[in-house]
Parts: sequence; C-alpha cells; structure tokens
Amino acid sequence: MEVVQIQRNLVDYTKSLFMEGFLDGQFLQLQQLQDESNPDFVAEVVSLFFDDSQKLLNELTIALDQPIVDFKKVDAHVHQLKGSSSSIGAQKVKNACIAFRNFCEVQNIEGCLTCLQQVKLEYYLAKNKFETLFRLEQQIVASGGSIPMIEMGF
Amino acid sequence: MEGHIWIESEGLGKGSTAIFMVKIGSIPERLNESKLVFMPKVPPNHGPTAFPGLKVLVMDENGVSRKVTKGHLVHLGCDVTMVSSSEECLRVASNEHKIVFMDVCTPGMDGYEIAICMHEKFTKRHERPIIVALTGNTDKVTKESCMRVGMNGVILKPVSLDKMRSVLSDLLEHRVLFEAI
Repeated sequence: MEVVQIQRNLVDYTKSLFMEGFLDGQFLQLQQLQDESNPDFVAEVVSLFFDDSQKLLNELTIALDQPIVDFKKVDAHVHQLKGSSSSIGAQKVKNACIAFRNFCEVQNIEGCLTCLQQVKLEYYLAKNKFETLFRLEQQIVASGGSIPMIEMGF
Repeated sequence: MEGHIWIESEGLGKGSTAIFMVKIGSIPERLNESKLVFMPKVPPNHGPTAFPGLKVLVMDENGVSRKVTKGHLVHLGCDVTMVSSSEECLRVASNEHKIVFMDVCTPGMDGYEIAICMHEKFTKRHERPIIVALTGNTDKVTKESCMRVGMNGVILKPVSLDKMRSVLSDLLEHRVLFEAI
C-alpha cells in the first residue's frame, strides 16, 4: 500500500476515535509535546498508561474480592486510574472511573463490581485502539513517510 | 530555460552577434516534502522555548500524569525535577527551584501539609519557590484550603501546552495565580 494511503487511513482512524468519544483533546496535547528531542513521547506515555492501568485493575479485582471491602483503598486505586486516563485523553476510561468513584463513596459493593467490569471493558477497548494507531504509525515510518498531525476544530 | 535570445548586427556585411540569456538552475533546496505538508500550525506570537533553564520541581504520585506534566515543562525549556512523595519533595526542594507544582488531589497525600513545611523550610520569601497546586478538583474547598496554607496558586488539570505557558508567565510576573473555580 502506498504511504499516502496509510497516512490517510491513520488520519481517518484517529478522527473516528475522537468522534466516537474514545479520545479527547488531551491526546492532541500529547502529540504537541512530541518533537525531535522527544520523538517517542506519545508511545512512551501510552505504554506507561498500559502498565500502570494493568496493575491498578489487578489491585482493584483483589480489593473487591475481599470479605470486607476497604472502599477507601478501592477509591484510591480508581482515583489513580482516573488521573492516568485523563492525562492521556482516554475519555471513556476516565468516565467509567468517575461512575465507579460514585459507588465507592456510597460503599455500594454491587455497583462497584459492575463498574469494575465496565472500566476493564473500556480499558481493553482503548488499549486495542491505541495499538492499532501505533501500528499504522509504524507502517508509515517503515515506508519512509512521516506521521501526519491531526488538525481538529475543537 | 526562461531566457531570451536576440541577434545584433552593425549592418550588412558587418557580421551578426547572437546574444542569449538563460537561467541555468536554482540553488538546490533540501526539500522534505512530508515536513512541508504536515507542519503543525504554530501561533506566530508564541515561541516554543519560552522559559529556558527555569528550574521547576514537580510532585505527583501518578506516574502517567507526572510524565505528561514533565513533558509540558520540558517542551517549554524548563529544567524539571520529578518527585513522587511529599518526603522527597521536602528533601529535594531548594531555593534554586523557582516553582514547585504539587498534585494535591490524591486522597491521603497531604499536599497542604507540604506547603506548610515549605514555608518553614524557606523562611525568607525571596528564597522560597512559588508553590502551585495542580488539582482535578473543581471545588471551592480545595481552592480555599490551598490559599489557607499559603500556596501561591491553584491550577486545574488537565493542563494544555498553551495554558502551561501562560501559567508560567503569570507566576513569574505576579507570583500568584488562583484559577477561577
């Protein structure tokens, strides 16, 4: 496939992620911070998000599985996940965390368990989308092209 | 070759001179076509490196958020030190740091207490760094708590590059910045 076609695919794919609410403007901010002195910034931050989130989701699963649930601990983990997802623009994950925190506040165990499932789902979807994005970028670079910047009218 | 040609003569039997002027070629430029097509729009009145060498300390327990804040500051030319706890923050902070950004929205981490300790560590105002809270909490209680413990400012997360640029500019000029919550 021609480089131009892959570049067009990347632009279309990225735009669809914004339209569908997977990404918000904060992701564009990350792209602005990537330059010659920091060429892999976006990939590094997103990769860190994957590692941190996986750990947090594991901790949450364990915490909610306890005979007596420590809601403060659960809330602290969700707060971290909300912060990370917000920092990279993973909007659906962030929103799922907001709902989760509401159930932590009222100490509703069923609500928390449902929210945990929702957060996991949104996280895996987001991870999948990011991986596709990076794969397209790698294809472009391998073909000698450069990554197009997305101009969005927010 | 974008030139022209003409003939001059002094008359019959005196011969003719053909004169021509042509463009042989231009000085070759390094054309990087993808850069030309995809150059991001930079607002004309903003320079990318606005604060070269400004020493900033960032305290944030969240690794991702910390990396993004650092990314913003480094992009603006700052010399950034990162810490992830209040103890580390107090230990590392020096009068060389012009600004300290503290994430105060982590439950259980007392950013307010650190601000009080910073005042105790740096008794002379001109030695004390400008202390700014970074928070995702849009409530008056957070803002009032920050003001009460002597913080110089409160900024709402998430922060954009443009916002960080104007925050640094305001802080250095006024030493105070409380964002409207």
